[in-house]
Amino acid sequence: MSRILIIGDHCNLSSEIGTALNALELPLEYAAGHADALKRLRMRSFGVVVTNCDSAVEEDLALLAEMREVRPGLKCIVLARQSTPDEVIKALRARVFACFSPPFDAEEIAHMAHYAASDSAWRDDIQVLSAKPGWVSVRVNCRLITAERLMTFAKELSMRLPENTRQEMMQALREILLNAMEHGAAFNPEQVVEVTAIRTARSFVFYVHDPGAGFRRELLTHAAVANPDDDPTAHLTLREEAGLRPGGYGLLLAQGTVDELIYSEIGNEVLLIKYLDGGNSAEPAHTT
Amino acid sequence: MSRILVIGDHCHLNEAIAAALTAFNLPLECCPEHADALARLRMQSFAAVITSCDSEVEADLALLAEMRGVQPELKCIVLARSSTPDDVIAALRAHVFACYTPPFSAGEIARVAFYAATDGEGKDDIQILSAKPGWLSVRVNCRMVTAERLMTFERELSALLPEHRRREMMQALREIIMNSMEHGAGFNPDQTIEVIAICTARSLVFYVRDPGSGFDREHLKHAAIGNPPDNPAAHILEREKAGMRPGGYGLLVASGTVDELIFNEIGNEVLLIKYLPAMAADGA
Repeated sequence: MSRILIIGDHCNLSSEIGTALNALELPLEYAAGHADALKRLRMRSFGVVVTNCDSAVEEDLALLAEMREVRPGLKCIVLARQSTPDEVIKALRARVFACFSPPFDAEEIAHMAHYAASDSAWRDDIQVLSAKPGWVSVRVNCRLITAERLMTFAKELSMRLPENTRQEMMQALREILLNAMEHGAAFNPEQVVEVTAIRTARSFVFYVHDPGAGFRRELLTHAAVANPDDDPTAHLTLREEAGLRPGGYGLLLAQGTVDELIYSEIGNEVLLIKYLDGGNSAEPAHTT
Repeated sequence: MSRILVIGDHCHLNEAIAAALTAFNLPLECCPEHADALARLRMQSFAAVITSCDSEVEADLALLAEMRGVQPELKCIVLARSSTPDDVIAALRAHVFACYTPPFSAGEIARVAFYAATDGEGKDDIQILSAKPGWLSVRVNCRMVTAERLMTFERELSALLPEHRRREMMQALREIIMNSMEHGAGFNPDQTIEVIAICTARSLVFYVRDPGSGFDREHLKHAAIGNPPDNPAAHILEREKAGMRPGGYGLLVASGTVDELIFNEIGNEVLLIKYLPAMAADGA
């Protein structure tokens, strides 16, 4: 398990993250600022750096470039006051491990740092195919941790949406992404899922393409989405019989939180749309 | 020049198509119905068949299967009273050359029939990647005639839309497909573009990806969309200097007729969205 360096020992968030990491029994140190961080990196080996929560993404990326001169394989979790789509794209291109802006959740950040400290095969897990504000396409390896990492960037990229819309969209995307990785590739890290996120003036569109052979909706008896109207828990019995873990609500949840969810013929491609004007999509555009 | 067989010699449309084909100097024959068509196909060679405009797509496809038993390479232009998304997908899978329902344009049908009669390739130009009502994904070779063929199917698939919305969407899609084939692949028939058409309850979404290296919007001086606000005709001069044909309005027209038109970073992928008023989700 590699050591973690937390920059900014004077803020509450850093202490909370430190406490959570201690609970996970992870070795860690605090650095007072950028220069101190660089000095510590020269003195001993760290696997992960968590940046200061009141910094700017651009500063963090400049620091990361310096730090990687010292420790080329260093993973970095960027915490920042705020982020713009341009900055998030730069962070993705700089192979930042994960990216967070307020409201911060110390537990979530600590979990991500835990993944980062214990994961050695991450560097090319998120490949940027095309990225500009409004259109980001990535190819990601089918690993749970990669999905979690990608979600941190997707969350940042949708930061300007109203909070409830963003939460719903992220919940749906997470379900679809995990479904694609699990059922389309059995979490095989050699296989990839393609994800495209497009933000237009009036809608948010996600497209997910997995390498699997798809599915037939009629055969989805283990999922809540296929339950007959008169038996909303039918899938639970079927899952128990098949020895599957409790659950099966993913598609139902995703379907309920976005405005459109549509699969291709074989079911290995899916399009999610969330209209930003509350569904009056044929009405004139509002400002973005 | 190969011969064309027009089925249904009793309707005005077929007369108009026949007249237009004659103007193209295309040899043609007309026959009244299916059995007669089969008999003629056994007797002599035809390159293309145009079905009767008052038939059903399903009946036409059954006839086509029979006709291809006689002449395997036969191209077929399906005219039908109406079509459903399932019909159109079945027609695409059956390698129908083009598909039309009312309102018919005899001139357009004759022009496509001319392509069919003179085109030696075509059978595998439109490859279906995924097709169900509401989601059609195809890979098409970069040829003008393939674009024209594809547009006939796309038009049919969006037949449930209000006419003006359908026209606008098709106009934009046509421009984007032509741009992709021309600027993304130089109309190289060995290269392909991918087109996905998705109809949801409240929107019609098209996605086009070409094999090119994209474009930089700042360098689009030859296109009207790149004109500065104070000089809306600047591109005309640029095109003249560059020895290009008049035009360059494609992207401007496309962006004006759909609700959203957005390119990816390098410009070789584009998404078009037309929002629909609340309507049934039984989808095109």
